[in-house]
Amino acid sequence: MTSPYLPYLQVLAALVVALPTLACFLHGAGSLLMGRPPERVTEVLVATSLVSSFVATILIALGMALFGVEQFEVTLGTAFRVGDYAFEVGLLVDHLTIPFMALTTALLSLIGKFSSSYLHREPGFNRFFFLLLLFAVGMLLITMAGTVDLMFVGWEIVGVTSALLIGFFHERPNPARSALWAFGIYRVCDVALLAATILIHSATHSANYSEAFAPSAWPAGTPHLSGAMATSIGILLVFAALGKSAQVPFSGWLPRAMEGPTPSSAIFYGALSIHAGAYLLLRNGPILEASPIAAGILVAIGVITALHATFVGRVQTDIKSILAYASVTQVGLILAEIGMGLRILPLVHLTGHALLRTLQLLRSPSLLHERHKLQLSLASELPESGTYYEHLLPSRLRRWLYTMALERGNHDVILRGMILEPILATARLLERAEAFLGGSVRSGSQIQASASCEESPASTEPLSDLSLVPARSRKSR
Amino acid sequence: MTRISAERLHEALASAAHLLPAQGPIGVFVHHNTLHAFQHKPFFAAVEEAANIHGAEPYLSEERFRAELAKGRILLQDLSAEVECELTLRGHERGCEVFPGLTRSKLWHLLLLHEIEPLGGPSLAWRLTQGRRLGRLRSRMPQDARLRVLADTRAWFQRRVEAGDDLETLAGLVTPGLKGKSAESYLLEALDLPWRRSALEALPWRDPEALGAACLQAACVVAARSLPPIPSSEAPTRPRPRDRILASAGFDADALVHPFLIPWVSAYVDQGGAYWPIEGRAEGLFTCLAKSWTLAGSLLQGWQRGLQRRMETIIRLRQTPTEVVLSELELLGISEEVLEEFLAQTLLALPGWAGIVQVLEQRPESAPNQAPDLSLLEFLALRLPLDRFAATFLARRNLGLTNLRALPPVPAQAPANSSERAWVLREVAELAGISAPALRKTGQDAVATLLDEVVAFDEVSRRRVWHLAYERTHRDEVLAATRTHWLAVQALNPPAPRIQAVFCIDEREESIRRHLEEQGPQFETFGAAGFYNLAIHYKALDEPRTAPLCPVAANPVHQIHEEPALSQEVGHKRRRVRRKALGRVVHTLRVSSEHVVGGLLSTLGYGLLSAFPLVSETLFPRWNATILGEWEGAIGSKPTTELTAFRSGEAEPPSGEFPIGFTVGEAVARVGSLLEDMGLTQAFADLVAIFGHGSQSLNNPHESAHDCGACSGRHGGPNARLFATLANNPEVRSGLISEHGIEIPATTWFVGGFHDTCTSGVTYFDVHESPSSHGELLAELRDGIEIARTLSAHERCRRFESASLGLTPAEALRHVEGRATHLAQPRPEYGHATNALCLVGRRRWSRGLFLDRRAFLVSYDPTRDESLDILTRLLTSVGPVGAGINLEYYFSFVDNERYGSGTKLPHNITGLLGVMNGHRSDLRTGLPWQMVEIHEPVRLLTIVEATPASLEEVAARSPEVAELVGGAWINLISMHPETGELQRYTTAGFEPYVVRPSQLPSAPTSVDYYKGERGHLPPAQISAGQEFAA
Repeated sequence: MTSPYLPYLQVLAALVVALPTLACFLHGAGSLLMGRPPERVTEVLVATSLVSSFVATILIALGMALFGVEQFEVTLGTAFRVGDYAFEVGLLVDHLTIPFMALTTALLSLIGKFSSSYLHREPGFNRFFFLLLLFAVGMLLITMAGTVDLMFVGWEIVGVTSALLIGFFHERPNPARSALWAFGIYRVCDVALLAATILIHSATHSANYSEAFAPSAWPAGTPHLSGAMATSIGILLVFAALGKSAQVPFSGWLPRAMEGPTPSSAIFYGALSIHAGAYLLLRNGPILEASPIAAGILVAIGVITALHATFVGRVQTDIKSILAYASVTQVGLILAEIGMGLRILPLVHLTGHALLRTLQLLRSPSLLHERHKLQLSLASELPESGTYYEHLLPSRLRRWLYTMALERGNHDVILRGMILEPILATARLLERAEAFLGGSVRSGSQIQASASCEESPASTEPLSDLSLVPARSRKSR
Repeated sequence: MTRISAERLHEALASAAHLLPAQGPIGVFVHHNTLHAFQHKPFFAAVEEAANIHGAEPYLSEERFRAELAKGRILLQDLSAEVECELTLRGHERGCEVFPGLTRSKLWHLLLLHEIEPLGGPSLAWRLTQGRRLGRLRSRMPQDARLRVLADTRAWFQRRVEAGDDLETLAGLVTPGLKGKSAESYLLEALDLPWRRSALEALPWRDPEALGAACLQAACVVAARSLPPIPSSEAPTRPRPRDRILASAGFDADALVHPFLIPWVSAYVDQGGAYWPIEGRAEGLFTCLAKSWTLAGSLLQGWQRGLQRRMETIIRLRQTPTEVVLSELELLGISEEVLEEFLAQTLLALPGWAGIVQVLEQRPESAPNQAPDLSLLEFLALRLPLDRFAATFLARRNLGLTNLRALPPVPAQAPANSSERAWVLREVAELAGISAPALRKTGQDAVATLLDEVVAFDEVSRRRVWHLAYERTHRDEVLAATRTHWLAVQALNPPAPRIQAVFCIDEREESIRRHLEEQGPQFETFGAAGFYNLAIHYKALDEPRTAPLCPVAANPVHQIHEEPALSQEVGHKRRRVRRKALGRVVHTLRVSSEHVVGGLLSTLGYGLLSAFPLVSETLFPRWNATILGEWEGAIGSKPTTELTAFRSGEAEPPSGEFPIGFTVGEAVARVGSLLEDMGLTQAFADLVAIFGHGSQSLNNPHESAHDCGACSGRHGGPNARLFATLANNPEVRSGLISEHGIEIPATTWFVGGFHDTCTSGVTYFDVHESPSSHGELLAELRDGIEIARTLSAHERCRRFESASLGLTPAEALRHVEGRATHLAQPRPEYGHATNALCLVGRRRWSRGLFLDRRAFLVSYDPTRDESLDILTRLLTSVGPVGAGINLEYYFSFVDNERYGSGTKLPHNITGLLGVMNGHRSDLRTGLPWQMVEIHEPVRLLTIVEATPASLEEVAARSPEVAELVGGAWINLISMHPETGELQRYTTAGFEPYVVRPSQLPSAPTSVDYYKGERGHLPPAQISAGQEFAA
C-alpha cells in the first residue's frame, strides 16, 4: 500500500503537530525572554500555526483519498531508552485520525480568531493564547500519536491546560477551587490510563497501535491479547475515559469548569477535550471488541450518564451549566455507541455534537437577545417547558427527582465523602504515625489545607488551594 | 439578653436591606446611583462610609492619581489648591509647622506626591536591619532635601569626631542602638564598614550618602522606640460566626453554604432559564426550599448533618420565617445592639442574590416573566440555619469548639508598632530633608507630633484630595472653554435654520449633533430626555406584551400599540404564520438539542451544518448579519405599521387596563410641554426631525445598559415616532395655540427617527405620510444625517483600540456595524463611558464646541421661563437620570470588583435575571469592566444657564435636586443667561468662578481636531457651520 507520494504525506503529518509545537515554544520562550509580546504578534503567531496545521490536514486527507492510502506512520525517532523499553515518537494517520485532526485544527483556528477579539485588552491575554497553543499540541498528540505512550503525553498536556484555563481568573478563589477539583478527577482517571499503557506494553511488547492491532487498518484490527488481558485493559481504558469525558460519577467537574473565559469553555468542554475519552476508546476499539465485559460496562455507564445528565441539565438555571450537561448527555450516548461496537456513527455523532455545542457555547452570552428574537417571531411568550409528560409522575416523586437533579445526584458529595476524605484521613493518620516515629518533615497542615479545597478560604491568597500551601499557617493537631 | 421582637427584626432588616444593590433583572438595565442607600449623605462621607461597609475602594488609587499628574491630567497647582482647601476645611492655620522647618502644607504635598511603601512584618524587619537600602537614600528624593540631609549629617558627624567621641559612641550614631557583635555586623551589612575608628572617621568622605542614610535610619529607629505605644483601636463589629472562624482558623463557612444555597435560590427565582421549573414554587420561597430540603437524599454533606431534622421541625411546626430567624438569632447569641450589623453583613455576603430577591419582592413587575412569591425575610430564614450549621461544623472540626458563642471575636487591626513607625518616620524624614541630627535634637514630642500628622492625613484623605484635584483640573478646563466660547458666540446672529433635529440628551448624541451642525447653519439641534415627554406602555408589532417607555420614576397611564396598516393586514397575517412556524422549529431544535433523544437527532441531523454559522459568525460577522436580515425579509418583510396614537374620549378601557392612545387634550399637554422645555416655541423650521435612540449588539448580556436611559433601558424610537405623529395632527396644533400659545406653522412637518448608537444606523418613521412639498427637505435631512452618522462612527472609532486610527469615515461605519454583529466583541460600544458634563441651556452656547461625546446636552431657554416651572421640571428629571448614569460609571470604574461586575469573559447568564461569574457565584451587579475601562470617574459637572437665585429656588422646590446638589453628588455651575458669568455652587452657596486664562484650542472641523488621537480631548472650538467673530 505504499505510494511514491507517501513521504510528502509524512512530512505534512509531522508539520501538523510541529507547527503548533513550534509556535507554542516560540510564544512561551519569547514571552519569558523578551516580555509579553503585543496582542497582534500573538494573534498572528496563533493564526498562522493553527491555520497552516489545518491546511496541512486537508492536504493529507486529499492526498490519502487521491493516492488510496489507508493509513501511514511517521517515525520521528526515539525519545529515550530504558533497558528494553524505548519511548518512540511516532505518528499514525488513518481514517479515524483525519476527522479528528480536521476538527481540532479547524475549531482551534476559529476559536483563536474568536478569542483574539474576545480577550482583547484582558490582562491574561498572553497566558490564554499560550495555553491554547499548548492545548492544540496536546490534542494533536492524542489524535495522531502512533503509540500509547505518546498519546499519554498529549493526554496529560490536555489535562494541565484544561485545569489552568478553568483557573484562568486565579485572583478569585472559586476558579482556583474548580480547577483543582477538575485536575483531581483527571489525575484519578489518568492512573487507569497509565496502568492500561503498562499492561498493553507487557502484553503485546509494543505500544505501537499499528503493530498492536495489525494487520488491518482502523476500524478493523485485532488485538493480540488474551481475553482476560483485553478485559483488564478495556476496563482500565473505559475508566480512563470517564474523567476527561465527564461521565458518571465524575461529571460534577464539568459545570464547574465554566469558570474560564467563554471561548475556552467552548473549545474544551463543547468540542475537543470532552471528546478525548471517546477518541481514546475509538482508537482502542479492537480491545473493546475483544472484551464484551468492558464494552458492556461502557454501554451501561454511557446510558446512565446520558440519563443522569439530562435530568440534571433540565433543572440548571444558568446557560453554561445547561450546555455542560447537554454535552455530557451526548457524550454519554457517544460512549454507549462505541460500547455497542459502532464506529462510524459515534464519529459522525461526535463531530456534529462538537460543532453544534461550540456554537451554542459561544452564543451563550446572547441568550437574552436570542430569546427576545424568538419571542418576536412567535409573537408570544415562549411556550412553557417541563410541564408535559413530566406531569405524569406523581408529585412526590417528581419533587424528589427535582431535588436530586438540583443536587446533581450528590455525585460530588459521594466522591468527596467516600473517596477523598478517607484517602486524606489515611494520609493524616500516616503522617501522625510518622511524626510519632520521629522525624516529621512535612507539617500536618499541608495535607489538611489541600484536603479542604472546598472551604479553605484563601480570600487573600487564592492560589494556596492549588499550591498545597496553607492559607494561613496552622498548627497541626 | 433580651429577646429580639419581631418588629425590631423587621425594622432592622428593612434598614440593613438598603445596602443591597437595587439592580433589577438584567434584560432591562436602568442606571442608578450604586450608593443610592447613602444618597441622603454628602458625597465624600457616603463614599468613604460605603467603602468601609462594602470593603470597596472609595476613589482611584494614589498610584493612578500620580500617573495622571505625570500625564498632565492633574495640574500640580490644582493639587496645591485642594491641599489648601482641605487645610482650611480642617481648621488649620496657614504656614503652621508640624516639625521644625516643615509646614503642614509641605508635609501633605510630600505625602501626596511620593509613595510611602506600606511595609510590615518580616519584609520590614529585613529593610530595617539588612539590605542595601540601609546605606542609600531614596532615589527619587527631592534634590534640596537630599543635599540638606547629606550636608547636615556630615557636619554633625564631623563635629562629633572632632569632639573625640569614642568608637562605641560614634558607631551608635550610625547604628540603631545595637551593641557589640550585632552593631559590628550591622555596620558591615549596611555600610560595608569594618569595626574601626579610622574607617568610621573616613566615612563622611568615602561615602557621604551612606553616612547620611545610616545615621537617619539609626535616629529614626531610636526615636520610634522611645515613643509610647499606640493604644489599639476598637475591634470591628463582626457578629457573624463565619467571620470569627475565618479570622481564627482561616476557613470560610460561606464557601460551604454558598454553593449549596445559590442553585436553590436561583432555581426558585428562575424566569425560564431551566427547562424544568422548580417543584412547589407556589408554596413560597421559604416553604418550597425548606420542604425540598427535608427530602431524603438532600443535605448529605458533612456540615449539613442535623440540618434535615431542623428543616423537618420547621415544616412540622409550620414555623414562619420570622420565627425561624428569631430562633436562629437566639441560638447564635446575636444581641439587639449588633442586630442590624449582623443582618447587613449576612445579606452582603451574597449581595447579588439577596439584592435580586429584594428587587423581586419590592418590584414584582420588573420580573421578565412572572415574579415568584418571595421576600428577603424568607431568604434570610433559609440562610441563617445553613450559616449556623456550617459554622458549627467548622468550629468543631478546626477549633475544637462546640459552642458558637465561645468563638473569639475578630481582633482589631494591630496598631503600628515601633518598627513600622520607624519606617514611616524615615521615609518622611527623607522626603522632607530632615537629617539625623535634626531628629535627635528635637526630641520625642516633635517626632510624635510629626507621626501623628502623617497618620491624620491618611490614605483615604489623600485620595480624596487627589480626587478633588482631578475634578478641579477638568472643571477649570471645561469652564474656561465654556466661557471663552460664550464670549465668541454671543455676538453671532445665525440665520434661521431649514431643518431642526431633536435628539436625546444622551452624551453619545453629542457627536452626531455636532457633525450635523458643522454642515452649516441650515441645521439646528435640540436635546430633550429621549422619552419625549410621552410616558407610555408600548406594545410593538410582534411583541407579546407592553413595556414602559419612560423614566423609571414616571408612571405611564397610556398604552400605545404598533399595528399593521389596514392595507397590509393580509400580508401581515401570512407573515406571522410563517414566522411562527419558523420560530417554533428554531425553538424546538434548540431545546431538544439539550436532551437525550432530541440531542442525538439534532447533533446527527444538523450538527455538522453548524459549521456554517460557526464560521460565518466568527469570521464574517457583518456578512452573516446581512444574510440573516435578508433571510428574515424573505420570510416576510415587516409591514407598514401605524401607532394607535389617538383615542376618542368616549371609549373607556376595560377596568384595570390603561387606555390605548391619547385624547387630543392629553396629546396637546404633552407636546406643548416638551416644546416649552426645549425652548422650541417659535421660529419653527419647515422640517423638525426627532430621534429616539437605542443600541443593538450580540453576545452582550448588558445590551440594555446601552439603550435609552430615559426609556428605562429600552429603545426610544417609538416615542420619537409618536411625538411626530401627535405634533403633525391639526387638532393638536390648534390645541397648542389655544392652550400653550405655541403656533406651529402649517408648513412645518415633524418626522420621527431612530438612532442606533452601536451601529450608528438611522431609520425614519412614516416618511410616506409626509407632504410631497417636503420631499426636498427630507432628502436634505437624510443627506445631512448620513454624513453626521458616518462621522460620528468615525469619531467613536478613535476610542476603540482595535480600530486603526487611519480608518476613513466609510470604513469606520463598517467597523462599528461589524462590532454590533460580532459574537466575539465584548465592547460593541463604549456606552456612557467618559461621561462627565451636563449642559442645560440654549444650544447656541455649546454649538461649535467640541465636547468629545462627554456631555449630556439639555435644551432649555431661560428667557421663556420666568416661573422656573420648566427648569424645576427639567432638573428634577434630568438630574437623577444624569447623576444615576454618571455615578454608576463612577463606582463601577473605581472598584470594578465590588461595585461593578468585573470582566465579562466568564459571565454566565442565570435564570434570565443576571450574570454570574462562571459557576455558582454571586449574581454580579453593576457594569462590567469592558464597558467602563476608558471612563474618567468625575462627578457630573452640571452647567445650567440660570442665575444662582433661580437655581436656589429650584432646589427649594425640588427635593431630588436639593439632595443631589446639596450632597455634592453633582457639581453645579450657574451660567448667567445674560452675562454668561459663571458661579460655582459650594457648601457656602454660589461663588463667582474665576476661569483660568487659557487658550481654547480650535480647529476647522471636529475631524481635524480629533484625528489621530485616542485619549480624552479637551474642549475645542470648531469653526465649521458657523461664522465666528474674528
